[in-house]
Amino acid sequence: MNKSQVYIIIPLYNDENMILGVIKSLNKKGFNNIVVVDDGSKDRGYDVVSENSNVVVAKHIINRGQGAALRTGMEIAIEKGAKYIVHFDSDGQHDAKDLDHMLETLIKNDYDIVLGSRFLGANDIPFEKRVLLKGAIVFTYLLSHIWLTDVHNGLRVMTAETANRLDLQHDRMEHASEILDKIKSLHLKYAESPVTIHYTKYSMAKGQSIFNSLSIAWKLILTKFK
Amino acid sequence: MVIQYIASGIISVVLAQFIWRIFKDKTIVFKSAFWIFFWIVALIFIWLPGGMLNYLGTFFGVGRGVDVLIYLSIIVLFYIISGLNRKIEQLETEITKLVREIAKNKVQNKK
Repeated sequence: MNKSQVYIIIPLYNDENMILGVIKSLNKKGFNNIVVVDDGSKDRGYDVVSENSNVVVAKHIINRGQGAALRTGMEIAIEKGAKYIVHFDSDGQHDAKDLDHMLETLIKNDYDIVLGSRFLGANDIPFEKRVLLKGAIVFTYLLSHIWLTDVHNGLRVMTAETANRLDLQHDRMEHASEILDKIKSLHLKYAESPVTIHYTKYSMAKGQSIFNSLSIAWKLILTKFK
Repeated sequence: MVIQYIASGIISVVLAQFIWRIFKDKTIVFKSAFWIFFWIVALIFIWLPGGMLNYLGTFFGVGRGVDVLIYLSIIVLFYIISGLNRKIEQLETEITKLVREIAKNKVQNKK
């Protein structure tokens, strides 16, 4: 696999302390095409990245949500000639070590998209998170008729063509379910791949709360019946 | 009743504002027409003799005439709110497009 064809998209929101470590870990694994999209962070994230690394860094002048930031990143990557696109979180939860396997799975089997699954990997998932995620799995099945071992996992690998076809419309967190919806409606060839999630106090505090998840669920139901 | 006078007072002020605005800018006549009509109807309803209002109520099968008004207002309000919601969603999408274009342009200019 030619890693110069791979572009990593990292939406950045108030993670100035983590982002450089994330970029370094990706560089170490040979991934040098990185697009960081600062989504109107309140901290110095954008400056920290542009002053201390060589990655492409874009800035949303106001916060538009992770879905919007991913789309901006994907558009930039595609303009730069990306063949494969990776969604990667900025908070240090994801592990760059998983990418080789995911990309190989994608390319060798001619998949359109490969989704990371923390339940397939050996992860010690906190109880509260486990309950929330299992609920989300059932919810996704009811709404999108797609059964996965993990939903709302931000680590995804796809072809540039898939990124184009996804045509993400949801700006905020609903994009994760939108992607699954589109996998079904566009009949995309997909697979899940085990990934490691690093649960730290930091990433847990930043993750989705129960209240937030309910609000996302409600919005998705509304869009379904529009 | 006191409430009739209070409501009429408020409506008169609103109407006066509309008329004043039209006086200053004639192009908004059509935009304001609906609201002027709406407030005039409201004014008429307020001063309609109780018997007539209640006749309306019985006609619609909800008992008191004033209930007809309340139900109607709720329906109109919901309609207006859903319209506003749609508008806000559209605006959100437009804003995101703008923000994205600005971000992309800045990246390109850096090259």
